[in-house]
Amino acid sequence: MIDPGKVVKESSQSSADGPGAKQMLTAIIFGLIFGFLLQ
Amino acid sequence: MSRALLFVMLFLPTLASGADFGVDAKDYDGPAWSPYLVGGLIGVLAWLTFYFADKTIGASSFYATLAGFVGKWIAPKHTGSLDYYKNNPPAVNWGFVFVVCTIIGAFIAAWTGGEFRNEWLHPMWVDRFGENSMLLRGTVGFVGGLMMAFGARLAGGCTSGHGISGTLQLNAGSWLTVICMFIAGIATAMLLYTLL
Repeated sequence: MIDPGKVVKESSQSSADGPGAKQMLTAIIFGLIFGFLLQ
Repeated sequence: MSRALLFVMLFLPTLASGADFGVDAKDYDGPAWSPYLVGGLIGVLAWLTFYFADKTIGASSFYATLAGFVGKWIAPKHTGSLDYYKNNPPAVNWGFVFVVCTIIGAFIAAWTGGEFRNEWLHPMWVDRFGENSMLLRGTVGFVGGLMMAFGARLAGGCTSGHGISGTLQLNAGSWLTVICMFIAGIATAMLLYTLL
């Protein structure tokens, strides 16, 4: 299981308040699937 | 709960199920998947979203964030003075990316399924209001969108946040919100398509 807190700490490329790269990847994957299912 | 409210909750769906809206949930033309299958898969997706991202599926905060971006661009002082944006500063966050990708995912599904077309009026709408009803459709859509956005922020969630993520956590407020959404939705559809 991904630890969201750990992910945020590991990512230095995103903004201080923003989610990390792995979190963003989940947003992209789950968002695409959600949109596909809704349509 | 009063008997009157219970009666409305039971009566409206029953009445709506007997009305002819020209749509059969079990007999879809074209490549669209069964709504029963998709409903189940969305439930599974909600589990996965909880597990892997520790987030809930929701959409309405995206529009508030988008409005915040526009507000910061047009009236930065005023936008910055609003309590909502003090607590929720506009940012490209998880929810924002999620909804952007939802739109892209829906486009991919429509495109690959051969359902993407330049259609401004739904056939049900044309049957009821005719071909030359673009202005009415646009007005109804705009006002309806405004009311939905206002209601979603007022209730702290929309059909996704309350209807999917809240109900599966057995949140009492979400269940109440969804029941009210169905009552209002069915009543509005009946007014638009059968009574008016």
